[in-house]
Amino acid sequence: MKYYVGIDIGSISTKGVVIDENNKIIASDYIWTNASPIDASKRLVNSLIKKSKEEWLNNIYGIGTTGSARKLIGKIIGATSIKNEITAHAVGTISKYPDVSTIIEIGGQDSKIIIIKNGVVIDYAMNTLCAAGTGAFLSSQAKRLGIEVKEIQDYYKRANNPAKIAARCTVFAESDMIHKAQIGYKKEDLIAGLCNAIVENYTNNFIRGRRIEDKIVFQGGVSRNSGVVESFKSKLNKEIYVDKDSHLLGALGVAIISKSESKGDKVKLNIKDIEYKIREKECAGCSNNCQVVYIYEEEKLLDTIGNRCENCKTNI
Amino acid sequence: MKIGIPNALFIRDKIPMYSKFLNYNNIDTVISSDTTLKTIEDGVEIATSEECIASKIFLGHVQELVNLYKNNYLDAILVPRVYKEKNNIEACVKAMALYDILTNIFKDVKFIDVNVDYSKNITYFKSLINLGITLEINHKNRFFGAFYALQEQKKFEKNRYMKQFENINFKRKNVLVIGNEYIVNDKYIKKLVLSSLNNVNIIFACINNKVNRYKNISEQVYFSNSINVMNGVEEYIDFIDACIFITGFPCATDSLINEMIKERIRNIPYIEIMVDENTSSIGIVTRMESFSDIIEGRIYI
Repeated sequence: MKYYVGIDIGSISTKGVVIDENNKIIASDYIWTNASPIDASKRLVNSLIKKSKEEWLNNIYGIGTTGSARKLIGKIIGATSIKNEITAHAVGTISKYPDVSTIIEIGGQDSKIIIIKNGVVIDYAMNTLCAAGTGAFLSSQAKRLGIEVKEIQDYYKRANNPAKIAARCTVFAESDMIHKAQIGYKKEDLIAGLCNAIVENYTNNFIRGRRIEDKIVFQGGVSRNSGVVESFKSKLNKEIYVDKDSHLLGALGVAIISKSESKGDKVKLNIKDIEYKIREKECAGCSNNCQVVYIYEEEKLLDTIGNRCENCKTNI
Repeated sequence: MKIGIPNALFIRDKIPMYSKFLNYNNIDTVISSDTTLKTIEDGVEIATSEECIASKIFLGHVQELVNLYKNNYLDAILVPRVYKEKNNIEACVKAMALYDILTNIFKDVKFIDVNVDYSKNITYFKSLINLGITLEINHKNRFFGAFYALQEQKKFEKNRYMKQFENINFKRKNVLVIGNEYIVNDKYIKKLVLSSLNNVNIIFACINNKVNRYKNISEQVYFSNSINVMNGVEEYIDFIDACIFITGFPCATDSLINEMIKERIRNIPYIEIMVDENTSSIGIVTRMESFSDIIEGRIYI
């Protein structure tokens, strides 16, 4: 049996899966990135190795990375496939729901919509300029109201008269919410208003003229919040599916991509327990002045990210 | 005499014409170099925060020429003012204001302005004649200079058009890049947006607004640069597999047409990329990589 590893290094959390030839997840883990992707990947790889059985550890034929730190970690870990998160999420979701048409994804700092037709992504949109209406928005407002993010769904269920809150901007939403609280709205109504505001923001920004067809799968950290899921259901008037492994679908997708791109050579899952140094510098090698990230493996230059030409490697 | 010409905004498209006119009359021209990060930083330092990325880049180019002027390497900088390039069709308001903005920012620098306004019968030919009068060129020379300059511009546009068409390659996926000429052909922006788009054939749509193909999308269009973008779409729509619309932030003229273009390019993968001076390559790389995947249409499972 051949095995494949997928690692999704996101802004908030780092996820890893090991799959077999039938795309079945045989090991997985989910840890916080804590703004240190190299450290998080080390911990993740070590924990996957610990959970491993001898059989798969020696029969890996592909390693894929995705997420915002995909290139950095991909280079350190020697990944065979490095893929953007949009394609990875789409592939992961299609493997579980072959008839999926729409993927709604709301994560910690970004939200996206992915439209799929016959198993191929045909359109997508991603938030560009600001993070209003994402997980970060929800958690900061929950903090303001003095409740835990996990409690949001319980409050949502108790709400009878959701407050109307503008979600186009986190700062405006906050002043809106405080104003509503001062005039006597209950906490549960405010929370329900927030969940509705996220959905409102999403439909205004992403759905705009796109035809939303069944089946709709909702992913990302915010999909764990049943308040937002309920709000989506009533807004779109359609069934919304949330997978139990929804947080792993990006990692699963990139593992499947590494399977399809595998050249049939065995690879070793290994992240050396040595210090990786990252130096960021504006290169002066030519007029492009690229912001180059230099990755050093114990003083030896391993690779660079962000360069447009090779001059930066000689001009350190 | 040496005159500097900024290699940005509306002026860039007409550089062959202005250079030919000046060179014919024994005036040397110095054209500012391609946009770099430093150009943008210089421009941002001078510009007000509301200005669009294209005019910030423009100011950076002017700054480069101003530095030459201050070192006595240049005698003046040419900044034409464009009102209407066709009756009833306006140029972007920036094109009207450039000269006045610059004389306000750089008070001790000599700028030469020349108006183009078809509604008042000041065509490009007439404006070159006027430029000749300003530069004290004799009657015969300014007439012949303007004549050859327009010929040169025509040749340049024709060559570019032919080159674009020759560039279509049916063995590969053809991706059309649309947007204002000064955005899509700017070296810095081009690299920022398109460097992660691999294995496709890129076609830049730069069409002169004399063609009326845009009417297929909308009968009435207010700005001349919108017309150029729409003509580009209409010209190539039958040959392309995908389309990228690069727009500068905040561009009023683009915001009037992007939904119309999206409607027109319905069944082809389409993406709008907005760039400003804060745009990092990371966000764009993710978008362009996934767009490449969409164009490729590969099924992994």
